[in-house]
Amino acid sequence: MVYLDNVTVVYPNGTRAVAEVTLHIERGEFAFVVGPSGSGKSTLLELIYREIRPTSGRVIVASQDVTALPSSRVPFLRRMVGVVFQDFRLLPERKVWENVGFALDVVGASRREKFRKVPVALELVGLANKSDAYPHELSAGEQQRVSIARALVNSPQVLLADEPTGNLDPEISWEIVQILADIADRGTTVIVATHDREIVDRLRRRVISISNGRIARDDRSGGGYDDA
Amino acid sequence: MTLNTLEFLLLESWTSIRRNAIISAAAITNISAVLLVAGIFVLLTVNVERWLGVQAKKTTLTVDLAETADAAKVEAALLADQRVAKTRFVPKDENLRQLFVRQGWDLKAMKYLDNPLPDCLIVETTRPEDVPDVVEMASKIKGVTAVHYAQEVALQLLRLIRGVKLTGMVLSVILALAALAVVATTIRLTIYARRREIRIMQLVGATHWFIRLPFLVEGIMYGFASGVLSAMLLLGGYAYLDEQVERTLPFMQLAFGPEVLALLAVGTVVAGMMFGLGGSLLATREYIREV
Ligand SMILES: Nc1ncnc2c1ncn2[C@@H]1O[C@H](COP(=O)(O)OP(=O)(O)OP(=O)(O)O)[C@@H](O)[C@H]1O
Ligand SMILES: [Mg+2]
Repeated sequence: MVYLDNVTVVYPNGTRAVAEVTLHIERGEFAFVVGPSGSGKSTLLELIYREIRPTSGRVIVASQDVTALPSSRVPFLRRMVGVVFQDFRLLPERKVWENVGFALDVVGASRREKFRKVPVALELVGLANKSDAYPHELSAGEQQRVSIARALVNSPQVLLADEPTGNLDPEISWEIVQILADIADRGTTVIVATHDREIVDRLRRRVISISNGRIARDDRSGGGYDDA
Repeated sequence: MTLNTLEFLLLESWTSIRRNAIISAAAITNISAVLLVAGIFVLLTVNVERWLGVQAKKTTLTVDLAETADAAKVEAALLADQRVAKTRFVPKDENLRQLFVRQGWDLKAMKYLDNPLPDCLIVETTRPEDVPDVVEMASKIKGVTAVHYAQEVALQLLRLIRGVKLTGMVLSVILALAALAVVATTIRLTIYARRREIRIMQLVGATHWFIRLPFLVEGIMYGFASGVLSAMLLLGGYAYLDEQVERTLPFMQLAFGPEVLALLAVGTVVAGMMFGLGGSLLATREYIREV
């Protein structure tokens, strides 16, 4: 589903954020990307949703060469790749269900589609009862669930999460990670960048560990944060 | 496009305008000023030009003769010129009578007056553009004291109007650029106010044009409002002027009928919308980074 072929990213200021990374993540797989701050985790995810292009190498997502994708096609890639961030990025003046529906509004969905899909997405993250609340009326964990629902509402094939538990208590973090793992078990490829040692050690899924932009370790069988 | 999409786009634009009420009002005022100035120039120059054009088309000139001149000789000299179509002799008594008639004086008073007017020849040229040359030619003929022609003033005014028109055009262009800049700045502020939303749109897969569209609609709305405002002011002003002119200058008719005025109003609104669209195209191209 996601395939990186000898990918290198050098930022204009000369920083080599990703160096010669080759990586394959299967359909429906769940993978952590771990590593110290500045090791290149966010950059790796940005490559997949085509926020940036690699300096060299190829990135293939859902059989499409993202590297060669013209700007006008990027929105259609984004509909297949949901993204979740540490800071939730919700719209404060919109209700929960409007925030989720927003992702449908802007891809030209009909009202009927919206009424059908939004409740399903909210159900999936366990927030069906909060659909009329405003973001500021929710806990941080609930807000993160709204942002996951928004990323899911278009039924993406890939879900990327960059430090999704960065602002959350350990218990809430664990709940969020379980939701993400469930999503993977339903067939969506889920990639989570994190340095939250606890959730990684507890979940026991694939761990891709990077340092200085290189893959230091790729434990496909379900590893801990820093198993050697 | 689904109904939901249309509703979404219009709502987005409207929210923007409402949130920036003061800036929106400033934008509308500015575009209106531009449209008004341009509209006034069009109305003014077209009217005056049309009137002067009629005057300038006249082919008649009047040649005053000296007391001692031989009218027949002067006439012959004039007619020898290809550009002169015909001439007519008007004795000085007839001239005086015409003056009395024109001024509405009592004709009986004529005989108490020692006629100060000269005999004249009314000369018709074949083409209006020959008039100035014929004037020059005629004034050199022996026995001719002066040559008058209606074109004289009209042509001078026409030259003046051309200058005014050029100034108007230059001014309009400058004001148009200012209007574009104002719309662009206004839209830029809205873009800034909604950058979070734009960012999310980009992340969930909205196309570039979908993201731009509400801002373009917003710009067009400003333009539309300005167009309607200035069209109303223009037509109102024109109606008032028409009335004044009819009362004080009955010989000068304003040139535009209702159809032309309707066209002008529509033109103003369309021009306003173009400014709005242009400004928002500029701003969105500049400030909504393509992904
Ligand atoms: N836009 C940019 N321009 C230049 N350098 C950048 C840019 N973005 C990231 N970098 C650099 O690239 C390297 C990798 O950054 P990245 O954000 O991918 O790290 P990270 O693993 O996500 O770190 P963190 O855990 O702190 O989020 C860092 O050295 C960072 O300073
Ligand atoms: Mg990061």
